Amino acid sequence: MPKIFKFLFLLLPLLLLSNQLLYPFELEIYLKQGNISYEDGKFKQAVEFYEKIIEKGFESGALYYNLGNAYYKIGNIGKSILYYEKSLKFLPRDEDVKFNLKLAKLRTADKIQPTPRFIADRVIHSVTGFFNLYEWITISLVFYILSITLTIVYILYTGNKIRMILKYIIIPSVLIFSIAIFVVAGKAGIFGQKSRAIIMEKEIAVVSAPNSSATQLFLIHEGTKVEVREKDNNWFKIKLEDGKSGWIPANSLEII
Amino acid sequence: MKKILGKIFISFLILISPFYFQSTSEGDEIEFKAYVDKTALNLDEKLTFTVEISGGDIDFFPEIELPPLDKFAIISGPSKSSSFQWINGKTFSSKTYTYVLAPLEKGTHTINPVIMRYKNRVYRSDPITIAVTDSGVKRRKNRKVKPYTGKGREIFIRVLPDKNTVYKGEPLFLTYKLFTGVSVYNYAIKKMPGAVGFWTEEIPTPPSPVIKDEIIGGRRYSTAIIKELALFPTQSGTLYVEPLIIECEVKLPPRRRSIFDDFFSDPFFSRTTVKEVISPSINVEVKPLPLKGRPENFTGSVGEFRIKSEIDQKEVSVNEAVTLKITLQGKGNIAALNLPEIEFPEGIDVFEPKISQSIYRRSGDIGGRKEYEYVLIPRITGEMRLEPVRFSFFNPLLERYETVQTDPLELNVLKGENLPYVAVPGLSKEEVEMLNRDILFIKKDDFSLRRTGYSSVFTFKYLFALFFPFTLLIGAIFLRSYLDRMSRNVAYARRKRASQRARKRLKRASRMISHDPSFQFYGEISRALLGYISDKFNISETGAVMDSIEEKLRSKGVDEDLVMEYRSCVEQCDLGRFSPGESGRGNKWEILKTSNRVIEELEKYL
Repeated sequence: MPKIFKFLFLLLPLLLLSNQLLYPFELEIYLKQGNISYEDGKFKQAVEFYEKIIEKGFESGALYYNLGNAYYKIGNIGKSILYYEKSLKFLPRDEDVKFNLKLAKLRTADKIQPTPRFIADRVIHSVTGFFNLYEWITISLVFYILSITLTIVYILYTGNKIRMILKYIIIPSVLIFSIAIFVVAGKAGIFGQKSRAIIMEKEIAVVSAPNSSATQLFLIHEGTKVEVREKDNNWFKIKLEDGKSGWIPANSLEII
Repeated sequence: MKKILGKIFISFLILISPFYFQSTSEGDEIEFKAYVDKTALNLDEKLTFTVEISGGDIDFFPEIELPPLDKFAIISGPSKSSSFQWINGKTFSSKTYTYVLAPLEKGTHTINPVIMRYKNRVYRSDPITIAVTDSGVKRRKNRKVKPYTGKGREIFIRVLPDKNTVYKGEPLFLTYKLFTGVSVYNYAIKKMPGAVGFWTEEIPTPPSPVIKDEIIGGRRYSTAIIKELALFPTQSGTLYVEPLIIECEVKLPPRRRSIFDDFFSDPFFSRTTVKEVISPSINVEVKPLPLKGRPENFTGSVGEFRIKSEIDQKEVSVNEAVTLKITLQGKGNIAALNLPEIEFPEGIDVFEPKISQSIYRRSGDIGGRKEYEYVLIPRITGEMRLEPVRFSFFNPLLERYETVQTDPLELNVLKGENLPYVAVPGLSKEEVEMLNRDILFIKKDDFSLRRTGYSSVFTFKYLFALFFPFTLLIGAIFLRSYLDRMSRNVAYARRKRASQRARKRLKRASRMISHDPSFQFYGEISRALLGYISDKFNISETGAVMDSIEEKLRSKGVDEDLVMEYRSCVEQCDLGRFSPGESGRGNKWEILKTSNRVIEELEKYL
């Protein structure tokens, strides 16, 4: 037994070594080249470099932000909004991303007034949106380990006074851990996917049913954020922030 | 006898026959005749055909029955006139019906007798023979268009397409013309023609339609254009246009004639009925646009267009807004026009264009203009060149693709300090001020790339962090229960730890093997051996006497040899402890090994 523990403790620092360092070296080069192209004003080239990294199956908030900037500069507002929104998923408190997203949204054709939400809904939204998924995972892990450590102390320690104090720390920490796990599950889409998407077409007609001969309801334009509700073959049922909904072809939008 | 009687009867009939036709029993004589103004005419001329009844009581004159006029068409009529005279105490009345007829074919035609029934008698006019000759002028062609004529119908609609085949995107003009032989007071469109696969533009018609006279199939009709449509096909193939349906308020012919007819023909008193009139449906052949010579930037526009562009300023400061206006003008479907993607030089921010369009719709001609207003904000200084905008369309008249383009524009961007106010519709002042700012610069550090998807989350590290504390927790729970058991039962605890403690002591002894005064070494082994037994049986270490130990071991069924070995080990240790220097190193090893083996073997029994 003690030997196994020793081995695990030796392994621990290796495990804690971030997997951020475990990506191919070429990605670093693409990243640098993308940044240099952007600084030189060669925005199309910058887009190509950044896109290569995504093609390799890697992502990050800063990468998406830079890609959004490059798309903005070449006038592709739909893509730029898409990538700013993606970036915001990683960097939910980043002021730069928020500012550029706001600027890009000003340049879209649709000015949609969102329907007001309930206070409880708003509070939940602002709390869960304050941290990104990974931060929530970390929070849940930290409180998980804290709860267990304190419980172990509680179990092994016999002093009644200290056990009383421990009890008042363990209960909230277990509570926070449960909430965090719930948020992580929600963000990972375990309770049904409530995905959002950005319109990519310059202008597209929203129709009443998932076929091309259905009645046209209204028009939406590039860069508008919608919520995807249902999928039927190559059609998405979408809902706008102001409550209007209808069907559009699946290739006219991209999921954030 | 019978034969003679029959002959007499027949001759009598012959005798009276003239009187039979020309007199009435009451003595009032009726004269019934039909005549024409000429018996020879050509195709362009009109014929006046008059039926005259004279004598008798005008009030009781019935309607006349015209024979079927195959070779003639009634252009107008009947126009009726009647006269009433009192001469020498006798009434004398007459009535004439006048028709204007147009011949339909050349040749010799006969107008069959007109028949009138009056007071149980039948009157017939004489047949008239008319010779029709060919006219010098050619007859109008549209009489040939049979499918649409409502021959024998009082009221009908004709659809007149301006052409039979169109290109996809080329307008097809449909004129819906109402033909009526009866009085129509009112009409309303009940259903517009549905047209799947078309973009429909309505051409405004005057509020009260212009009524014209037209002759169709030899009959005179009042006509009015009730609807004009321009249809732009959006797909090729044979397309179907559904009928137009209207409802007409139609005057009914009066049931009988009286002197009050004129009075009651006032529309206020007329009997009317609502009649539904359905136009024919039509099929349109739509040709696809040719692939040959199709320009790359063709976006599907069909018609004939011009393009021009202008900017409101040639010189601006950085961050100052410039308006670029691109105007497309011409004939075709303005609403469906699509400007190709415009390439702007880098360093200019371009905002979504404001699009305005004006369409004129006239019969046979539809078009207008579409304006794209771009707000451009240059972000860098220098000379900029806006490249010509090319616009391609298909000209259906020339049946080929054409491309028009704007002139290139020069824009000189100067250095500027102040941020001017730009009016952009739909935005607040703050937002507009924000528009003048450029986006924030890219991030250059802390990229921390991770694999896309959740695979980067559920790593070994994560699973370790999840399960390791959990195993610790389980361990703690076992430890707790162990400690509980130990605190409750010392004997149990001692028994459990006996071999562990003995081994520890032997280990310590092995480290002392080279120490010179060897009593420490022997003492440690002795304590290991005796302590082991006292732990196992929960007796005090000092109270462990060899005899009682032997007894206890035997009671546990331990092999006699092992007991003896144990005893000899303890005795050797005692010997070594109190008589130093006697035993050598090899002896020490021997006893250490034996003690180890003895404890190991005793563990099996205890």
